[in-house]
Amino acid sequence: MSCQLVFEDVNEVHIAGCLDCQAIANAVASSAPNLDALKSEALKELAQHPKATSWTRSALVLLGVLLAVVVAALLVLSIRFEQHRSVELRWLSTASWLLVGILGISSSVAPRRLVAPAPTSALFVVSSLLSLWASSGFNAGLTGVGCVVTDLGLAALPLAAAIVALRNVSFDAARAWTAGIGAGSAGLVALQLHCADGRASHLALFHLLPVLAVGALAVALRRQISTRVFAP
Amino acid sequence: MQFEHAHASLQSMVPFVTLLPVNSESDEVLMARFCDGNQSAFDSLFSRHAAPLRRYLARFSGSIALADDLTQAAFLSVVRARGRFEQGQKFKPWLYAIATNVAKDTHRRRKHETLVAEVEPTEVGELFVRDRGLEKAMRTALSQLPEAQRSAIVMHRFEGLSFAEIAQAEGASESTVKVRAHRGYEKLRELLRDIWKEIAP
Repeated sequence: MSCQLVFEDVNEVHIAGCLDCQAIANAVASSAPNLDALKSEALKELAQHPKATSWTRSALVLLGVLLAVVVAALLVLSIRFEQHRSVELRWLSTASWLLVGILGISSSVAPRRLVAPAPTSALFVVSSLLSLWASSGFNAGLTGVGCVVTDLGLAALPLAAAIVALRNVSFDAARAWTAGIGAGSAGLVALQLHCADGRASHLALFHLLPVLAVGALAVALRRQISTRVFAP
Repeated sequence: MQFEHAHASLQSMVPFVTLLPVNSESDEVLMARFCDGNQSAFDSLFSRHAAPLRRYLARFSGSIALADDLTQAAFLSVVRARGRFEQGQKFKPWLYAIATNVAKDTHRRRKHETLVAEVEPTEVGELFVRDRGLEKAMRTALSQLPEAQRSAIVMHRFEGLSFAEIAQAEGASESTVKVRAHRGYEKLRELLRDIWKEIAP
């Protein structure tokens, strides 16, 4: 190899007269294929689904699932008041967790530039600190198992819906994490109003940790399932 | 004879020359029409981009046979994801992002298979004297690069995308892409050094 420009920005005239650069260019150049054959699947899909579907529809479905789970949980579970120091802090904390859920789950299916892993994670941290700061310290004598089961149980449906929706975008751990944190927050909204225990250790171990676990689970599950659409 | 030589010269340049599209509408206009349900717009986008995309995927994956499947999957994703294409977005980086995602996903799922040096001899530049040793070495070297560096180099050096377009396709900043390409070129030089010494006069 004698050409010193093989890795430089050379023009077509140089390439046409340089065997080294042609060799580099031809390294994996391909023969003329029957390209139309590669279009058949796309055309079949187009015939079956002639209308484009916006990603916002997916986001709205996920949001609907999340809110339905929260509302159903609040209707079924009893409401207790001992966890927080005041009513205002109780509602503030609940609202912040609802916001984590909405932001996380709806942005997870957005085009890449709108996915919000950092804002969702930041809001998770803020909400966690708010929950701990607003806690009353009241010892309800709970083991915490019930809280973990409630948290994970309520997260299951939004998480499953998110994983299915995430098949329609390329695999991205940050997306899956965002969806997982959002789904996990559904349980936490309900626990804000249902759980009577206000100890910081209880909240950290049995309320907050399961949400992180759901985030990690979302990444692991999404990695395992196949991708249907590879759009960013 | 003269005509044949000129034709061969033109063929050898195919990977580097973006042929002027027959349809003068921009990709973005065609994509907007396609999203509105116009199938001929999709046909135009396909005929404009299928060959270069297949070539990119062949270079990225190191396999012509695989490139066909990947191209098919990429355009299937274009159809399925057309509702995600945003107004004001550039089409080509979006398409290459999809293609790269398809290739990476396939590579991840076929980890145990060798994707190196499967490429068969080609018609391109067949009338020229070809340095097949270097071509093979280049293919092997390319396949040894990390995915991010390989895609940056193949898109920039072989497919003529600007760093800004590659950045959009990769979802990274332009400076990150430049660093990746720079490191990739360094590594390529390193990988090819022995051959370079061997062949250079």
